[in-house]
Amino acid sequence: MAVVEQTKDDQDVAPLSLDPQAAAGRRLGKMMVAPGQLLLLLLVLFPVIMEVYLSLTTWSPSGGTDWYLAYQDWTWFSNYWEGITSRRFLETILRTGVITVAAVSLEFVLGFCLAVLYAERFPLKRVFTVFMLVPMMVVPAVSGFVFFLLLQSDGPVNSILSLLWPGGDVSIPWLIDPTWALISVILVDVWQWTPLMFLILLSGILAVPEDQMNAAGILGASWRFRLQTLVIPMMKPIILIALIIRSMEAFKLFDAAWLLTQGGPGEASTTISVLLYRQAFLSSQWSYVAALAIIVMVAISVIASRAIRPLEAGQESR
Amino acid sequence: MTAKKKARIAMIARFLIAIAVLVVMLFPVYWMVTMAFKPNVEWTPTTGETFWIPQDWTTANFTRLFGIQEDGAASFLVSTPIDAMPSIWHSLIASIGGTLLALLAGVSTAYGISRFKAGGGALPFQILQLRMFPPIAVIIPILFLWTYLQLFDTLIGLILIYGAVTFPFVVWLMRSFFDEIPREIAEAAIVDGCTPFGAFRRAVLPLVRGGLATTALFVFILNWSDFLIALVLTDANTQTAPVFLSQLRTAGGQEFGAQAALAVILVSLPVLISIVIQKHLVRGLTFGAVKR
Amino acid sequence: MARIELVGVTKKFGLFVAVDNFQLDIPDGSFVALLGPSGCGKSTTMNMISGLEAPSTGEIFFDGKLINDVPAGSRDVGFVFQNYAIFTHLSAFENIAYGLRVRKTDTAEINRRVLEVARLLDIEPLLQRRPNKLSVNDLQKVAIGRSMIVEPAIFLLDEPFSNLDAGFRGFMRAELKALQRRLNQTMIYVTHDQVEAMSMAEHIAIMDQGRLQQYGTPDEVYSHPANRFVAEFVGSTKMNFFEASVAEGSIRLEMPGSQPIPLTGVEAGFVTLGIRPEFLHLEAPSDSAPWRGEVDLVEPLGPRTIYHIRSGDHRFRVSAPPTLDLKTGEAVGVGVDAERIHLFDNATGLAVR
Repeated sequence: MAVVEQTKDDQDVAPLSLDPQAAAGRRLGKMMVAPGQLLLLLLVLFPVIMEVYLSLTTWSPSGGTDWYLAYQDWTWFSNYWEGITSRRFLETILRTGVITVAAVSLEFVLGFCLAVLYAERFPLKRVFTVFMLVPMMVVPAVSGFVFFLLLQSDGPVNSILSLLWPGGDVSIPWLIDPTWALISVILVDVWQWTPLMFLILLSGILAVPEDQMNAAGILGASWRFRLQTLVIPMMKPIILIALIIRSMEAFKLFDAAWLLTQGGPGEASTTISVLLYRQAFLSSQWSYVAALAIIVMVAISVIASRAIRPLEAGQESR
Repeated sequence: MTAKKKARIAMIARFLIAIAVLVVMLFPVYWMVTMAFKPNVEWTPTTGETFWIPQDWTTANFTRLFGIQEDGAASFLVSTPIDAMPSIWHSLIASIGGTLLALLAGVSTAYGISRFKAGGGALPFQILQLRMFPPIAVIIPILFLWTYLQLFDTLIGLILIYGAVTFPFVVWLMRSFFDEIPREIAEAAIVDGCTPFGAFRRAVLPLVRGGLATTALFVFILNWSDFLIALVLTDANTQTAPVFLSQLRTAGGQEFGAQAALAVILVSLPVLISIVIQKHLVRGLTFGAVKR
Repeated sequence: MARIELVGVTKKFGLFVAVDNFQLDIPDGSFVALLGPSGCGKSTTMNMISGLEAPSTGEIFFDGKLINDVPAGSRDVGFVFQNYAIFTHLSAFENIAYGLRVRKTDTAEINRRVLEVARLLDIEPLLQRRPNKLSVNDLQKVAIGRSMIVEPAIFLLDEPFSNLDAGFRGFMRAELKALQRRLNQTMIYVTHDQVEAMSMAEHIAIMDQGRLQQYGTPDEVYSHPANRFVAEFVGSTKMNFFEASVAEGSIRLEMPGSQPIPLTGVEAGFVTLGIRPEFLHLEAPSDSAPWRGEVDLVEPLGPRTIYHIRSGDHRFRVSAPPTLDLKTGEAVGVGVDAERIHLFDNATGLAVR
């Protein structure tokens, strides 16, 4: 990919501008990117290096020594081995994966239906669209808090369900039962981020040229047929972006899980982030946590870069 | 039935469904707002009744947040006064500072990428990679580093991290804005005698003013909403509002009313801002890939 | 093939009247051009015929059946858009096949018919290409093929050739005309180019500001314009207009050296006189010439030369053979073919003769 970029660069710059200008431009470019790269270096690269370093030791702050002396407790890859073979760790990864898939799928389906709904006119549509944004803007910490209250066993959600459910008394143990706790976490994420999917998908639908829709209509295509053959194929890149970005963020879920149930009961709603947090701050096993963190980072990077490749290819051909 | 009538009925149906969805979506927000205005008696779940609409509107919860005690405030006992002001202050300063830092580094990076394809083709992706790491993973070494540098529990420490974390958004967003400006504009400025940097400053930058404002506001919301980073990197001295909210407890127990009031305050700011920048929200949340 | 009738069709957008009480009867199998300047309402009328828009009032009939409430997809019309509206994510083949896929035609049949259409339009080797790899000319052919393949009763084309190269435009016009004759298809063709309309259509409906100005054959529209707008709009070289007065059996202009032209059957009063450049001829300046003037500008156009003549405050054009080699400043006499004079009422613009 880098090779292709280089050739394009030369072709782009050389014929159009005088050579010293082009060189000055490139120099400026490098300078302009520098502060950002510095930021990256200090605040990202360095911590990661340190983390790798720590992960290869069995250092812990309670041991009393400073962190840069951690090499005294060198242990090579035992932390990694412990992590990979830890049932708890693997289960958490699986659980986080389940949460991500469930939440993102629901957000996608609901977002799509809503986008289709909002594609055509109806009164007050503009106003409604603005209000639909609100859940996204609610600080995640706050939504965790609010849902904590809402999902109490004797709270409003159960009260409403009791009204609707034939037979009266609904008392779902949202935050107490392991399965329901997991569902609660998914629910909060879906509530918070469906509007995002909705917005993205709506802009995708509206981007389909009206002329083509009309042409297909005149050829006899029903709305449904046009959706299948025109709208969705044209939306593929956008759909991909939305899914990837949302999945990335969902995998890192912390706020809601922590505030609703602290990851509980037991470990029922513990996501990766919650697990790492707990191990780090409640059990002080920092070198072990470092190893786990590295594993997670590598895994996500690999998966995401795989998923993004078709996207980057799409961007190149522009 | 004529086509017109069918269209009418469909439109009304859409309207009704949209209302229903909106009601469900906004119910938690509604609940939060009413909670903030309810006196203690009305929301304690143990009474067995749920008060859907506050019967006794009170601003006691709000005033409580700022140290003033009042009867009817939703506290279990009349207990120690709380002061939410410092935490709100900290949130504000850290968010604004972080935003400025991210903008400083991000805008020039974005321009470098957009105009000069600096950093090769890989830089944009590397920056995206930043967002792939679970924050908790990166936070721990930062914690050590910060402690070592004595930046723990300081606003500057927080600002630096916020800047770094939202830097990717600035780059991707501003890049998409810069991409929309034709190269000819900078080139014309150079022909007129500007240095490349001067061309950037005088010719291109003014053109993306709108995008810049949007990006700044968007990033501000992100910083304002942060929970985990502040949770780890702050203590009594620089607690931000979200953390303060989650830990709002006094001798009397968890202060739901005050929490709700603080929640309302916390949320109002992003909501107001998002209404202003709503046109570009999609662009921001998809890293500039989707332009409405 | 279907007969189209528009009865009292009006389309309003808020207070703006785009089409005003439009009345038209298009016989089965004919080629009709909807001609008019931008914004005259011709595209809106097309949209109403196709079903993309509904009339505010009035009825539209296909073969005697009221189709106001029939949705666009069920009207059995073909529509070729000005900017083709090709499906950008589908190959040329898939574009053409689209209508058949909607009708769930089986694959073998689809293949056969797409190839047939492609052969007819001479785009067979391009079928597997994507739209972004096709030239503008080929894209338009694909668009036509896409509409043709479902064999609609009525074919609507909205300025389909305005984006094509000039040379190709003439070629496509001929092809389209041949196609229409062969398929005996009812075709309605929207254009703002009067040359196009004149050369292709059997009947022309001229519109301006939402109203039908005249409906007739090219010859009728050219030789017997119903009003001043039509007279001015139609014809490669514009008609000349003069203020004139009718009195005592003749008509005279306020032009130096012009003599009254005998005229009967017209009420006395002020009128506008119109005459086309080709019905004026230049002769040596003499007292017997009806009008006099001098050459102001010479425009050689190849087969003809246009002389811009000035007479006092009046300027007008005369079309003459290229062999008449007159120079600027020369004095000339102008002969008038009295049979070809058109008179227009000053207030209404309607032709009086």
